[in-house]
Amino acid sequence: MAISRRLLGLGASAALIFAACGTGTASTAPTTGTPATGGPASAAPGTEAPSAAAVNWIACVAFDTGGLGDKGFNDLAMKGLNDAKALGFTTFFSEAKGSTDYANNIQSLVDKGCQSIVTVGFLQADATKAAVAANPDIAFAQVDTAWNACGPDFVCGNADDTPQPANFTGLDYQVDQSSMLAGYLAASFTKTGKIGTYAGQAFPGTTRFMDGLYAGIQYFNQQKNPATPVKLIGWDASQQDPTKTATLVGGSGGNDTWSNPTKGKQFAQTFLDNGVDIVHPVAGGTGNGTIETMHNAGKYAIGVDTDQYISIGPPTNGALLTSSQKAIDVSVLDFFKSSSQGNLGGKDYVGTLANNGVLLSPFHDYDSQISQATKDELAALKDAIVGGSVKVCSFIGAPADAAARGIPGC
Amino acid sequence: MKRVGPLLRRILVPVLSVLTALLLGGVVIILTDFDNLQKIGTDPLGTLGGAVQGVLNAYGAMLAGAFGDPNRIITALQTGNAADIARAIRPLTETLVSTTPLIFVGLAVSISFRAGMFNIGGDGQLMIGALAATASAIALNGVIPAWLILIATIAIATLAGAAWGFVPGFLKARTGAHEVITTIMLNYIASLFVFFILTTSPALRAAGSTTPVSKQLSSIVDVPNLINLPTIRLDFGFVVALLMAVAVSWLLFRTTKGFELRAAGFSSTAARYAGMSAGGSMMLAMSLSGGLAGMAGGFLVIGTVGQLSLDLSGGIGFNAIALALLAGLRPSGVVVSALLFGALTQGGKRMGIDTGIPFDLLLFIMALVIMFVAAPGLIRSIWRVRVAKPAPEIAQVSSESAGTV
Repeated sequence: MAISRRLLGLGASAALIFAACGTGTASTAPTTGTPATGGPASAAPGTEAPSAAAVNWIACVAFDTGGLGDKGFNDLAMKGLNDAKALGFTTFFSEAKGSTDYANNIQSLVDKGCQSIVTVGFLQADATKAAVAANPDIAFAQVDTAWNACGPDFVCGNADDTPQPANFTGLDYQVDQSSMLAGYLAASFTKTGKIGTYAGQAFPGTTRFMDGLYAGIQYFNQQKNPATPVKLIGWDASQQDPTKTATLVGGSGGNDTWSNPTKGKQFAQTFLDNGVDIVHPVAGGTGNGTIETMHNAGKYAIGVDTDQYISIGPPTNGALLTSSQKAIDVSVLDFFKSSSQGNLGGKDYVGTLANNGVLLSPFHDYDSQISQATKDELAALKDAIVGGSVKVCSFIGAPADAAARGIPGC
Repeated sequence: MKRVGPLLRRILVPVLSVLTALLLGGVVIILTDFDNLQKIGTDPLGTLGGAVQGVLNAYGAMLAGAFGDPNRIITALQTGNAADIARAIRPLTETLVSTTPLIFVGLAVSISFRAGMFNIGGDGQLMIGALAATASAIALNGVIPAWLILIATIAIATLAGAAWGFVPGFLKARTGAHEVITTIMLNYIASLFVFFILTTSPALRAAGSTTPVSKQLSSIVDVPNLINLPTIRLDFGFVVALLMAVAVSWLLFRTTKGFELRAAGFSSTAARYAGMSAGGSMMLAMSLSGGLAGMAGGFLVIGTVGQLSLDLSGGIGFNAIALALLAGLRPSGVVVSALLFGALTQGGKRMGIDTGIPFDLLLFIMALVIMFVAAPGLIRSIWRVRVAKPAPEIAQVSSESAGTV
């Protein structure tokens, strides 16, 4: 008897669950079915779309493992997606839990009817390339990537050149331009004449910040010709390969490189011991430790990727003079907009000061301490960079070396 | 009827655990749907309806994500369009793709637990197997035919995983070093070793690339797919996983060595008294365990994923511990539990995409399942199930091993 009663209970609850799930499937089936079978042209979002001015387009983002919630890079891409949603786009996103998920998640978004897909994180590069080739009528973009037209050997004009697919857009940011402004500001603000910088690892995505900072300081020295030129410690951009003498966190490339505030505090202390009073850390969460130590010492820091004065919050953000920002959210939104108008890609997006793809954050607490003269000089420098009369690459060694570090133009 | 009783009793707690966890997951879905909850003052009935609808949508998406839509599958099969069929059956096949490594590592964990060894090192053994498979596939490229590379890479991955598993077994047998500590530490050593090799060996990476990811191996060797359709990744690794379940079952319950392993697990002192080598059993169990995990890594890099990267395992080793306990350490149970976890994982991703509910809810549900399975008394009292039989075997194994920690 006991068994049969148990069986009955089990059956009843199972029936309940299955019944529940059954209706759920039925209600979700139409929304998933229509776009998939109808193809991109007729893939109308459901009538239940929240916004009045619904856009007839499905925009999606495929995130990497554990990226969301970083208050920087990934959350900026998420903001771009949410902004698209507010404009009436239908939006979806996926999160990966391991490398087995990359191809699967992108394919799930394709099956979901996504018409524009942004992938985040360099580990997704191969899965993205495969999806770009397999889905020629879907627009793809990848954050912090430029299509390598010259093939795996980086030499243009030979057999392995890879022409950019018509449905791929690399979202690339010339942060050296915004960091040049930051460097000029730091050089005019420093009391000790020494500025420090370091990166998690050295690749164009990080070294552009440091090269730009160097260029800004050099430009200041050239313009103002101070008795003792302002020095940058940690990155000697005049060398052919500055990584040999650079200050880098190193480590496994995972959390111990990019989310290691303890290491960041040690770096800050070393810089302080050397008389540095402004540090520009380029190392994600590791840099937050640096900002904290600089704050505790009553000194200054320059933020990275996003306006860290806002993302970090008080009290440690009191150290931040400004931040060198990448407008990932804006470019992701722009990509959605342009692809929804039929432009699937074929050309990389390059964020510059000219198109506000990179920018210098507001000075917040320090607004009153920075003289109007300096602000005017910064505005003039920005105009000069936008106009092309001042170039980052002319301050950082041989043109070919600059180009190899992702700073073209010389 | 007499045979139904014991089986039902055996699966009752796991089934009720899953059910309870799903119900509690539903509560969390309701409590985190702030948009819906905000209306509670003005429209309590609508809020209730919205809450129920939210849970139904979430679990409906999960079900559709795990198994696909039967109607669509039938329609697609009738039209015969390859792309439509692929799209319709992809959820189901991806569930089996997620299931495959879980079966391997779940079996690995079961063997070691049966022998009284807590192998927490599944992730590390999997990574070492994957590294060995990647390196050997690249080294053997062009030297021997592809089908031979396939067999060789899987064999080498298995041996490498076995060697990595042997180390804690040996340390335990010879020095008494506790395997929980050593296997956890070896996980870190394995992943940092893989990172070291990937960063310092350009031969493993794609030409010109500096990112710590191996080159694509699919052009060298690829495990043949079970269904030959675009975007379908289900391959023969799944079949091998099922065969391994049969093999492990036979080994544990039909051979002398298996009996010795289990005897060592029940009581190593008694096993030694009966003339069995306890140390030998430990080393054998850990090697077999590591070998199965290594095989999982091999099938991942030359099959499903096609390249080696640091986030390859994605926590399979830890999920496998959970599902092995859920399965009562039985190979048949491991297959069923792995299917359940595979379906939850796959369905959870679809739920995330469809409803925006983070995948972490799935981790929450899985953790609850384990908690309930580990506490059968709790489940019995929640569902008012009368105890017909004293504590099941799992409880004995875990309490005994817990005593040695």
